[in-house]
Amino acid sequence: MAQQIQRRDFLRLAGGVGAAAFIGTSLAACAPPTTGGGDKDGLKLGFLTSFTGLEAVLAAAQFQSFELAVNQLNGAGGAGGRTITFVKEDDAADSKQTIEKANKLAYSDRVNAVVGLVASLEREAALTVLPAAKTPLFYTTYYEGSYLDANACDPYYVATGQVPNQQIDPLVPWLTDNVGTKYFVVGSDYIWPRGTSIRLKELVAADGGSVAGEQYFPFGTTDFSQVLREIDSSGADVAWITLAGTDFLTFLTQAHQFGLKAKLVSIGMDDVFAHANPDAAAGVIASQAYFRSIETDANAAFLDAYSTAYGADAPVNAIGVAAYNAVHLIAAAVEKADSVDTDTWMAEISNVEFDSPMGLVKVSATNQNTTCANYIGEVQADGSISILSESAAVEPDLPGCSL
Amino acid sequence: LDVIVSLLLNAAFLVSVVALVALGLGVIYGLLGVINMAHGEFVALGAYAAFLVTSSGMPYWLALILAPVLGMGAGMALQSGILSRLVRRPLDAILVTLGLSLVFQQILQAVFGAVPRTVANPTPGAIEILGATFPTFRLVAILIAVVIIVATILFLARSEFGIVVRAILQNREAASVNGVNAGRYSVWAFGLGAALAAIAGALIAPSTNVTPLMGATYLAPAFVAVILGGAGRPVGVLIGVAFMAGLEVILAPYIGATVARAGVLVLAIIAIRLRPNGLISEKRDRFA
Repeated sequence: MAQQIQRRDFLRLAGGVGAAAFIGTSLAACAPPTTGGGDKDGLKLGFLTSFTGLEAVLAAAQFQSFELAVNQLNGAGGAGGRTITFVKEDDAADSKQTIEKANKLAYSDRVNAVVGLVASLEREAALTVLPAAKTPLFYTTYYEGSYLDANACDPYYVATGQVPNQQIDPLVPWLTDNVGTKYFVVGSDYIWPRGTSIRLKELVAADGGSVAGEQYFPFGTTDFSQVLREIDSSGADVAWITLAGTDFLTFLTQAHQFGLKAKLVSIGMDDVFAHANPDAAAGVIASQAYFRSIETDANAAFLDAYSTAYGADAPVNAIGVAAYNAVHLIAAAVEKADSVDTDTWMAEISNVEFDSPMGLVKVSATNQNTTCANYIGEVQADGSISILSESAAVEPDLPGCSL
Repeated sequence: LDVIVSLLLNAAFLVSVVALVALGLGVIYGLLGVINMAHGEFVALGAYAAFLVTSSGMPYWLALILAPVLGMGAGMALQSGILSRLVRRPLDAILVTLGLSLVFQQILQAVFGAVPRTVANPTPGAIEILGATFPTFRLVAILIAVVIIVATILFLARSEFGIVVRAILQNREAASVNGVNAGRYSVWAFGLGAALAAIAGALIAPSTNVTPLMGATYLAPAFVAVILGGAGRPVGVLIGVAFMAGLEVILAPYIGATVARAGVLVLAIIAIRLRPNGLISEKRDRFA
């Protein structure tokens, strides 16, 4: 029996399963950095997001929009004559790796600013590193704002995505008028779903509605069959979904297979998710600062350049366009300040604006989040999103934040 | 009634799929004494086989042949190429399979990308069973899984292959003296375990998303189930799986999914503490 492992060894080693999964995600992060050359006085950006892991589905649109902005600006003389270069890093949507990579970008690559990130846990992790290094973070994903004490208010932090008063406030009254007032909340178990649910419940209560159920699932959940049954037996009109990345796609697939009766509504739905599985996403109501179907000259020009660079059917979403905007806003601030000294150009960040594919955007001087419009849309069978309602640009609201 | 029926059906789907994974893990551990940390990647391999088949326009059902063939091939290559050299070094074998699982994940990522892939549902639609709505494909998957599980258990218990492997297990030297080529049987046993994991992956694929790291999701409950059931006993493994996957499905609506997942693991630890030889334990005989 010498060569056999005893039962006790087996037990002892069972812990290794977790370690295996963990090391797996660590190794997944070894994307080669694409450091550009550039003049000494150039503008050097860091791009950090989860190219692998839970949020991988969103990375391509975010990175490509970022890269497109850099290339377009460089083609037109850079940021006030400064060539823009960038370093690209992958954090696998794992906060430990976000911290490692943020440290690398700030202290080793010495970038002028970091752009990117999807999940709020990545943002929270990056903010433990970047402000201390006086390296501004430009976060490009819609998020929970200051709910649940999220980090959303820092002189070295700019958000170009939406906060709840911009994304959720217009949506709930629209749902009251067009769908119903009885909700069932299904989200991933972290700060974004739980934080945004707080605002949702306030708005639902104000409309005389109710929340019949609320369930949060750990990352990597592969089966939602039970909660699908509960949503239907609760008689909810609206299934409010704030699941992240791959888990959201899994839920959509299973909701479609089980024939969910409630109307699916998600502030995470966008052209990228719709494009990933149009059959399952058809009919979902979305609320975002950007859909491909926005009909403006700025968007037509953007989509034209984007499809030329990345292919005719490459989807792009609000997270991507917010990354595109971030690069343009940084470049405009650097140009206006005529300096890459952080405090000098960051002092101009709320004095510049950009006519973006999603409309005119401007960083608020009060909280350094971004004023932008909102669109409510419905996913069509071909994976496109048709706009049903549109609201004018509103200031981001972060209670208690005054920079 | 429809509540109970849908609860049972949902639990049955999860249990049957995890049971395939766990049975494969149990076969490899029970028959070879090797803890295969790369087992989850065989699940992912099977799921990607389903993706390949459907995305190239062929019917999904071909994946139920392609996946186990690929899994068996990869498993046999792994055993004969690497693990056969580590017969008397079980701890090294664990480290090797752990390393291989990372290598496999990166290969899958390099070949298919990190973005989740979908496999079209081969039998769209849902059926009503006593008032509960249930996707037709899940029912088909349960039936296929049950058939494979029963066939595997019978094969191990009744066939000459099963008997010979048990003989090797009881006394490798004596078996060799009696003319049994232990190495060759080990290769087939590892291939069988890997094929079971791969077919589970192909069965899961249409109900979820296919990603390079998906294996870890199924490895963990399968692993605990093998321990819980009494390592190396197929029927014990099935009971362990029912405990792990079934209890989680039943508890989740009441205490929340996150707490349920942690709670089931705590219960598993307590159960192992109380019955260290597995929930069903006879004297120390492995597999049979």
